[in-house]
Amino acid sequence: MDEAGTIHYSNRWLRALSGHDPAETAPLQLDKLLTVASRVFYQTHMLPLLKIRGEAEELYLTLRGAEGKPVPVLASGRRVAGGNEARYVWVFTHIPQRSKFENELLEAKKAADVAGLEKDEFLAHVSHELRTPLGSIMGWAQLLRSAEGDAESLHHGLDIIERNARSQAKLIEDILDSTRIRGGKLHLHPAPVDLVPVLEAALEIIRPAASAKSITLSLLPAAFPTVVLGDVERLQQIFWNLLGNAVKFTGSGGTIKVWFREVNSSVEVAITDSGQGISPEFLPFVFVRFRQSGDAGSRKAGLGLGTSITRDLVELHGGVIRAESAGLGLGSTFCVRLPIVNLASAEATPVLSLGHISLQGLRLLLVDDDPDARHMLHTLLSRHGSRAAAVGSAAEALDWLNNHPCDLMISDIDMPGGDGYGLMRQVRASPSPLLRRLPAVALTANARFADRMNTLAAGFQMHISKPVHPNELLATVANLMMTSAEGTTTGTSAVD
Amino acid sequence: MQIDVLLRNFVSDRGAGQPLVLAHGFGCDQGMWRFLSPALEKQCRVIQFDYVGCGRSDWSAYNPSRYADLAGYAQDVVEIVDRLDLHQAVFIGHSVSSMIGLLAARQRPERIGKLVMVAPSPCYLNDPPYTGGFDRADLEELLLMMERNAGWAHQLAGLVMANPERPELSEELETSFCSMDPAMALEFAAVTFFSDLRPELSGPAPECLILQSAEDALAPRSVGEFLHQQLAGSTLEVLASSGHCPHLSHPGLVLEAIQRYLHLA
Repeated sequence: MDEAGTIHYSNRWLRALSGHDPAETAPLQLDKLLTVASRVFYQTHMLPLLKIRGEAEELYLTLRGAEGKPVPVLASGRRVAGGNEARYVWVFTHIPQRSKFENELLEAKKAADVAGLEKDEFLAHVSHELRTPLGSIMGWAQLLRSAEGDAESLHHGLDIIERNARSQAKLIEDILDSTRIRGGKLHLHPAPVDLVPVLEAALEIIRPAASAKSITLSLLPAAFPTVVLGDVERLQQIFWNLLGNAVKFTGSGGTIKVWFREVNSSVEVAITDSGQGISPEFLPFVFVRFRQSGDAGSRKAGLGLGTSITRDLVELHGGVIRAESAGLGLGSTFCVRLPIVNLASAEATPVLSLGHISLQGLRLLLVDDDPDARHMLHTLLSRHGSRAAAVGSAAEALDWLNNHPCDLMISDIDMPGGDGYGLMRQVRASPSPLLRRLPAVALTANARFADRMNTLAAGFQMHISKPVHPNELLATVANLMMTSAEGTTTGTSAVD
Repeated sequence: MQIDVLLRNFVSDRGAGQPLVLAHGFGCDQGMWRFLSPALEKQCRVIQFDYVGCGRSDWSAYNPSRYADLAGYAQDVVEIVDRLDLHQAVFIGHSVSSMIGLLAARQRPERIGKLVMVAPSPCYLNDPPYTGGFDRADLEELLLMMERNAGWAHQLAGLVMANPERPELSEELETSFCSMDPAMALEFAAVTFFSDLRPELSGPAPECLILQSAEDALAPRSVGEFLHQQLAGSTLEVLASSGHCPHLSHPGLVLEAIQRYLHLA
C-alpha cells in the first residue's frame, strides 16, 4: 500500500473478504475497504502510529464485506523500505469467532463491573438498614434501665424495641433467604395448601399498616378450587411480601384488591393496588436483586431484596410471577400463577393451613436451658392444645423420656452440660424402638447451612432457627406429626 | 495546592519570537507535530502540550466532570497561555483542537490573536441540511471499536518501553507516543464526536486560517466551506492532500501554508 492508501497488491482472500471478485487485479483503496467507524479509527489512531513509529499491531477493525456486512479483522501494518515513497505491508486476520467471544467478554466485564458496584451499594445500604433499628433498640433499652418508669412508658418502650427487633430480624431473614436461594439450598416442604386462608392470614398481618394509611383491603372470592401444592410458610411469605409492598407504595385512602383467576390448570392470584405504579423503564427490573425504583430521595426503607426473593420462591413452586403497571401514578398489579394441585390425589392428605393448626392431645417434650424461651414456647404449645412438658437440660430430658410416653421432642442445641446433638444421639441409640423413631425438631440460633446439616446428622428431622416464629414452629410440628403418622419418619427434610 | 500547569500538560517551550501554540487532536499527543516543529522553532517560539489523559500529561489530573465537554479542554489552554503569559500568540490546532482553540481565544483574546485550524469540524453529526459526515450509529460503532482496542492502547507504552533492542524506539517521545488511558480516550472521543459547536461560531472570533485536506474522511469539503462562511475573518485553504492528518502525511504543504499566512520568511 502506498502513502495515499492505494493497495497495489493484495491476495485473493482480502478481495473475497471485502466482497470483491478474487479474480480481479485492479488496485483497492484502503478507505473503501473499511467501515465508517474503522476509517475514523484508522485516521485518528493507526495512521499516526504508522507515520511516526512505522508500525501498528493487533488492531481490531471491521472491513466492509459483501453487501456492506461488517467483517471483523485483526490488522497489523508495517512500513517497508520502498525507494522514494514509503510502502506499507498489511496483514488482516479474519476473526469472526474470536470477535464474538471478545464481544461477549466485554459485555460480561461491563455487567460484572455494574454488579460489583451494585453489591457495594447494597452492602452500604444493608449496613445502614441494620443500624437504624439497632439505634432505637439500644436507645430504648438504656432509657428503660435508667428511667423510674411507669407501666405505660415501659410498655411503649418494649413495643418499640420489639418492633425494631422484628424489622431487623426480617432484614436478616431476607438476606439469608436470598443467599440460600442463590446457593440452591432452600428446600420446600410441599403439601396441598388452599390459597384462600393463606391470603386471609397475609391480609391480617398487613391490616394494621393498611389501616394506619386508611387503605381499603379486599379479597374477592374465588369461583373455583384454589388448592396448590406448596410450602405453606413460603406461600405466606410470597403474599405477605407482595401485600407489604402494595401497602408501602399506596398512598392514604387507596385500595388493595386481591382476586383470583383460573388460567388453564393454574390459579392466578392478582394483587392490584391504586398506588404509585411502576414506570415502564423500571418495570423490567422489578424482580432484579438490589434494585429499587426511584432516586435516593424517594427511596423507601428496605433492601430491594423482597421482590427478588418473592420471584425466586414463586419459581421454586413451579409458578411464574409478573408485574403490570400502566405507568407512574396509575397503580400496579402483581400476578402469581401457580399450578393447581390434582384434587383426586390431594384427598389423601389433609389440606394444611395456618390458623387452623391444632396440636390437640399431642404429648410434647420441650428442652431449653433458657427459662424465658422455655416459658414462652411452653405457653404457645399448650395454648394450641398440646400436653407439653418442659425441661432445662439434656439429662432431665433423657430422664423424662425414659419415664413418660412422648409424641415429639423439641430441643435447643446449645445447652450447658450436654448439647442437643448429644441428647439426640442418645435418644436415637435408645433400646426403646419408640424413642429411636421419636420425631424431633431442633432449635438453634445459628442459621448456617453447616448447623442445619449437623442437626440432621444427629437425628433431628427438622430444624428451626431462632428467634422462633410461632407459626413456623406450629406448622413444623403439625407437618412432622402428619408425615410421621404416615410412617415416613426418615429424616431427609429440613425446614429451609 | 497549586497545580503546575506545565507539568500537568507536559508543556514544552522552545525557540524564540512570535509565540505559536501547537495543540494535538483526538487520538494522539504532541508528537503529532514532529514534522513541523523543527522548522517552526527556527523562526518562532513554539509551545506544545498534551491534553490531560494523553501522552505524558499527568493522567491522575483527569477529572471526568471537568472534561465532560470541550470547555474543560479549553480551560487547560487558557491556563497554559496565562501561565506562560503569552501575548498575541497563534494557536495551531488539529481537528477537535481547532474548536478548543476557538473557545480559548474567546476567553483570552489578548493572549490568542490568531488561529490556524487543521482539518477542523464544528460538528461531526449530520443534521440536515448540515452535513457533518457521520450518522450517530457510525460514531457509536467507533466508540465500541475503541473499547475493543482499549487493551491494546493500554499495553502500548509498556510494550515499547520493554524493547531495548529497538534503538529507533528508545527516544523518550517514541515510547509514549499516542499512549492514552483507554477510559479517558473513550470520554475524549465521545466529547469530540458528539459535540456540536456550530452555535459557538457566531460570536466574536480571531482571524483564522482553515486548512483542509482535499479528501478527508472526518471533515468533508462542505464542512470547511461551512466554517469559512460562519467565521468572519477566516481564510479557507484546501491542501492537495488526502487524509485527516495532513501535518503528518503532507507536512511540507502545511508548513508552507502556515508560513505564508503568518508572513514568516
